[in-house]
Amino acid sequence: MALYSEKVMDHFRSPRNVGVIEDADGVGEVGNAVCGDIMKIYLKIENDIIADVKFETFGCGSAIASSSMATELIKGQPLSEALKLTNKAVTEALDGLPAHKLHCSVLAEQAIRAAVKDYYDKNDIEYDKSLFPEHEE
Amino acid sequence: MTVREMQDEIIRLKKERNICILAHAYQSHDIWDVADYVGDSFGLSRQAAGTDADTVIMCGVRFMAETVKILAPEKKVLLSNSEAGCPMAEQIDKELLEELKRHLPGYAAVCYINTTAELKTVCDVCVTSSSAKKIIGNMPEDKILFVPDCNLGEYIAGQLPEKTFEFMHGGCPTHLRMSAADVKKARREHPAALLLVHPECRPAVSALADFVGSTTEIMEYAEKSEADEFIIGTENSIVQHLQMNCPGKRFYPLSKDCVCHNMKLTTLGDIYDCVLGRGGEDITLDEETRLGAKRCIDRMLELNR
Repeated sequence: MALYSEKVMDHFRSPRNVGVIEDADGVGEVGNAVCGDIMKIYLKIENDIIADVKFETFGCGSAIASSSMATELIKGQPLSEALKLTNKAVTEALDGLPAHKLHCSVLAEQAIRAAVKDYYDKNDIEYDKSLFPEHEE
Repeated sequence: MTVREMQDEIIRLKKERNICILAHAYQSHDIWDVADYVGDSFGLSRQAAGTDADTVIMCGVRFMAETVKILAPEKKVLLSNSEAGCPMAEQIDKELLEELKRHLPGYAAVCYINTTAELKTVCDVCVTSSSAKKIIGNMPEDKILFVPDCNLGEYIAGQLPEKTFEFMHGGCPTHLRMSAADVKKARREHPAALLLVHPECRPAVSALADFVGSTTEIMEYAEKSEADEFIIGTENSIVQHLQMNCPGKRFYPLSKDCVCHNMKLTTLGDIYDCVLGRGGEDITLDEETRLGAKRCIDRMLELNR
């Protein structure tokens, strides 16, 4: 079996929702200089629904595909659903990722959570702090 | 031991033990002072292949030490700090490139030199930022798959309109930290300064620059230029080195965040341990990988003539 599924290759080569939302309601950035994958997610939120989502990721194929798939999975969804998105769901939707690349799907999950938290913080919306453990920021 | 004493001891030991020390330009100045050669990644490899030293210490990141080993297999090649890798080189592996090639029949696979030896075994040719235009221009193929840095790729593509390019969304996390907003701010603070940037920057940044070039080209440009002030859009060590080389001119970083943490992992102490034979990582490559990667580098040399 190929290391990279057809879905990974499809989302890697033709990523969905690439770009920047200039007047985004929430922005989440994760990754670090040493690991090298930088993932940034922009959310446009209307009535607690993710009306639009874009991402900017420079990284490996799995990081691009994970970002792309994660944005597809949350677009049009209520924030409460977006917060339930797990890296496992992203990986499954991509028909799997190589074991040593699973951390890329974790990055996608974390970037979305960071963007939602940013929206909550900017708008003084109260939320359950346990949804955003420190290490995920 | 003071820094000076350690430097003197490193220099004494490297001569006694026939060791050549190579330092990438992004290393700190205390390391430059003990190096036999300072330069960009490929310049260093060529120096390494030409030296008669038995051991080469590469003060840089892993792919650079691998490149030295590819060109000089008979030498012992030590990577000064085994933790120092290039995040961009890790963005594409052999399997991913093979899948990409399968989806893009008829495309020649061109990789940046900032890639692993293993990746080079499945590429047609590799390029450096300063040689890319000439090498790709000299290739008979018109369709080019360039990996992993799409920003450098777009910069090259802009100079070669007769060729068709495909990219992946990779890039250097250090250079990606600089934005058009940084340019605006720096221009406001230093209105008389020229902006010199590396082609790994985002296209929105490169488009605003007075000069775009490799690290070596940026240094040459600044040293020869009649201008007095420069904003530097590459790793911030270059700002310090230029300030040392040209005390009559002024140099400013485009962004204070443009620091490559991997390049900064190597310390003078690591080099001291290497010359004493108790530090560094001895780079090994199996012969099949070495020859496969060498073919990719040899083609670069051939097309760069």
